[in-house]
Amino acid sequence: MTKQEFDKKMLELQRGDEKAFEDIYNATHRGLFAFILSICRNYHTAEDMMQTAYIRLRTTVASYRAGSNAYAWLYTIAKNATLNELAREKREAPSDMEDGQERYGSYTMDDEGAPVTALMNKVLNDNERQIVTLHVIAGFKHREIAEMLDKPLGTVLWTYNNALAKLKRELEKEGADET
Amino acid sequence: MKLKDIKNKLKAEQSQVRVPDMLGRVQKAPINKLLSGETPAQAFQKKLAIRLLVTATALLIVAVFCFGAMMLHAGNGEAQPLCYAVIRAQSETGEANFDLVTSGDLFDVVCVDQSTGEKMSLLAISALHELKSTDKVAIAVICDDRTVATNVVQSLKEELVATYSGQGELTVQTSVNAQSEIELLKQRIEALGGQPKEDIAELVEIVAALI
Repeated sequence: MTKQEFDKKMLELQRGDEKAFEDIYNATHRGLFAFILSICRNYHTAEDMMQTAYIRLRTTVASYRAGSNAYAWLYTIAKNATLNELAREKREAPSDMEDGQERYGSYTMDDEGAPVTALMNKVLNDNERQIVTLHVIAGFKHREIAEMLDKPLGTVLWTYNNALAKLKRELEKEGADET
Repeated sequence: MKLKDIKNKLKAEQSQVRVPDMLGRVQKAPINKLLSGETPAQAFQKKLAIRLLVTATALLIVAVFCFGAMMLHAGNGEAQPLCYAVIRAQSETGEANFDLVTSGDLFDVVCVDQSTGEKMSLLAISALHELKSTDKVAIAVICDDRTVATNVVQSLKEELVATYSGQGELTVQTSVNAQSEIELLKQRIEALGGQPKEDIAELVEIVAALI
């Protein structure tokens, strides 16, 4: 779904067209789920956050203005909801747990049979994972990612290339180890 | 390994990830009931307005029922016409006459001893407690409404018989709107300083005001 088509569907949703929501969902749910998963790295949290994101999209659709970037809108909602949830989880975690332990401790995504994904989760930082996911999996252009994440295009390009180079290095290293 | 291969591998792996189907859950989320393209504030105001409307309607219905019940009660409690009754008890020792004015309720009755002018309750009339079977007891009732008069005379008779504690059976004579009694009532009004009229209802009202 193009940006213009998404914009049109948002306006239809504003008028209460339930079919428009279904179209938006079908066109965005896979990419959005991957994006949320790249932030939280927990399947169940990602599931909840995806639900939250779509509910928020519906509840705030009245304030959407024609011509705005609907993709950026949806992804920002999802990102904020997920970061808030992670912050809440961190606050509620036992105090004797070391920093970061709760996130990796609750990481339940099954990466078996998905070596590149596993490696991405292992070697890339949050920012790199998000950019790689948005470009490779969700199919956004770097310019669009820069808009969504409110970062300069140069920064997005540099981070993306750097992330892929890291992955390449690690994969080559693993290949060399195996031989 | 080329970068393109990494991208393709990553894409292929991600396409295998099971993405949960949230469409149904999102569409059925309770919050959606509030929203149909409107802001939460608008939805809240709309809901509040509906609640106020329902409350106002409920209050209106309750008010209508209360008013109806009051009207019904007022209809049932319509003032009964006043009745004048005289009880005459003649014994060996003498005669005792008592004037009564009632609207049919014997607990709300003005009872006056004709000889002394003393007001008392019906049950407090000692003469009635001391009746004997040989005494001549008569009850005369005068009332504009004959049905009410008949009920009053019957009630008074029952009361007297219930009060009677002497030996033998007490005989009580009764009359309703007897002409002779109407004439006696006129005389009684004159004796009390009033001006008798021909109409029964007016006569009862005059005597009620005088005793």
